[in-house]
Amino acid sequence: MPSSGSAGSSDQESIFQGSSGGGGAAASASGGAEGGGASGGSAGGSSGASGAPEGSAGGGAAGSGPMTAEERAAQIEGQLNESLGVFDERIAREQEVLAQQRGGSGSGGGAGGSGELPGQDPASGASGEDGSGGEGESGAGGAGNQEGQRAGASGTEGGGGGYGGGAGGGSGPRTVPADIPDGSDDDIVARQLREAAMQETDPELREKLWEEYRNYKKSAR
Amino acid sequence: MSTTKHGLVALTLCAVALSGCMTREVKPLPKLQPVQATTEIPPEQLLDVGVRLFDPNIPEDEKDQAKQRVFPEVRRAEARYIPMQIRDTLEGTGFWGQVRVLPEASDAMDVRVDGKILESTGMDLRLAVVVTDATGRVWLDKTYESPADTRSYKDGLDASRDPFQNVYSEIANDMLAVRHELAAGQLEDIRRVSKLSFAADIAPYAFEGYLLKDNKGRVTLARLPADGDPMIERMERVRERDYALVDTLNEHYALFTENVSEPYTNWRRFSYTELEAELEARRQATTRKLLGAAAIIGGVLAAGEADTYAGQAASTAAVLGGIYAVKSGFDKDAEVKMRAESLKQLGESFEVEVEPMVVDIEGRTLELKGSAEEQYAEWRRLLKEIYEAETGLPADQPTRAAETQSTGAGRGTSD
Repeated sequence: MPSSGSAGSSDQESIFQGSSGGGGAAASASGGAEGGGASGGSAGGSSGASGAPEGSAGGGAAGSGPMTAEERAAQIEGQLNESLGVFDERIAREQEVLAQQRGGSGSGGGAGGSGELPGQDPASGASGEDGSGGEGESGAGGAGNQEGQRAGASGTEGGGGGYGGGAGGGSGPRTVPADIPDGSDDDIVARQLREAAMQETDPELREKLWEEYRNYKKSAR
Repeated sequence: MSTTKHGLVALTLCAVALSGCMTREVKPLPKLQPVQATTEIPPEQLLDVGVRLFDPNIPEDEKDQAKQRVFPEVRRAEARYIPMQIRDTLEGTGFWGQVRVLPEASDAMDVRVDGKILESTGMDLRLAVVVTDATGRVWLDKTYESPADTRSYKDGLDASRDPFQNVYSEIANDMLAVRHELAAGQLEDIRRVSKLSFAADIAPYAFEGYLLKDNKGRVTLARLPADGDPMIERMERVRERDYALVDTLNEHYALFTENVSEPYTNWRRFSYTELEAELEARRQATTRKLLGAAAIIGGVLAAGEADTYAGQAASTAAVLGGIYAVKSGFDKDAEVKMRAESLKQLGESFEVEVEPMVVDIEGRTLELKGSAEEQYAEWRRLLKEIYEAETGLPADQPTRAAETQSTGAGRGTSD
């Protein structure tokens, strides 16, 4: 059966009106759907319409002797149904995989590999609540990751592919002094100063860098 | 005195050049909303829409890519992301039936949207869009463009709105305008033609002659199958599976869009900032150089005519100031280069992030399509056998037109 996701075309029984193009011959039982207008000698078909059996058959007794055309058509119809069923199962399995992925991404996994933000900075208060996957989040997690990205500032620094997350590496303290703003309005110079300060392991140098950052921001205003 | 005045004018030019106080006013972009249906549309007039994956329009030459600032993986992501936005916009209006993103073209959709990305940065989006229906009528063939709505780049109520939603809304509204011009009978004909196009693609021997195509590509109904025709019933069952496949692919696309949405928005936001700064730096560089040069010339001329110490001093200051202005103009050039490099790094960084997602979605699409193609081949064979058994007639070989007719997700030619 088609998966629940496939509602098919919008709701219709049949959009075809009663008139057939082939004249009377196409009426009723069936099979008239062929080009050329003539419906063919017998209106056979899986519906079991009456009509002289054709093809190789002799009488219509099922199971004895060669198959009648109707039997043959019914047999093939069965194969078609079976094949459609196999496809439905394939789709259903795929839907299960999707459902699992949705369940996984909802909890913060995400499908992207390298989108992790390198260590949300706890001192900045910029969320870090999940810090992994950065994309695919909606709601609080997503907003948090955005905050984290701004706190991480540069986004242009090479780093380990963590877009928007600034340079990678987690060594050294990345604490941001409380008086330092979130850096969302940093120009490239300010971002570079911020990033350098956040990466600096020597506390004295780090403080000097933050001081340069403060002075630069003041002069830029 | 004329020379002093000359020098003062030159000095003023310097001051203006050095101040660099050229600011760009950015007016808030008016929000364009898609028109929503207020009454229910009769089902037989609800047209299904297929939005094909957009042409990413990636230049082959890497130098052209760099020049146009095209990042291939970003474009491949956008080729899926943008159709999903259009899909969501159309679905939300209530004027259409099922709206699906298709991995490839299909003549068997009621309405088809094809597009090509001409430009896509955090600042501007430009798309070439063509909308046609199953009868071959061209609904739209135009270029849509818009600057970014920067409110989407800020925290607040608008943060969840796509910065280029205006483009998608405009496309939806334009499509609606065309739809409104069509009579009910025309809408129903479109649906009949798309259904028969699908049937003719799967079993051309059974449905040849039902549709006529003129030399302009317009398709009309020649005749209709009988009500209850079992071949039509079988086609409908196969079509349901076709829809199921496309819907499954759409769920993959939706998951992809969700996953890529945040980093993509951030890339756009940061790109916008850098682009804006780069533009500003360019303006300032040009302005400073021009005004600086003017000041130098003015100062030199004034010095030649100066007959007082004041006049000479003003002239000298103008020349020196002009030189400095020109120099600062060149410094601005350096900043322009820095911004350009920053943009490049942003794009490359986002590419690294998005590439695995693109590879994943492309892989899944190929896998599903491959699996579906095998099924379709089997269904075609079985349907042909049923037809021959029922009618006693040999099914003709499919015509070239039927063979090459665009397919849905798995019905033959691959993307």
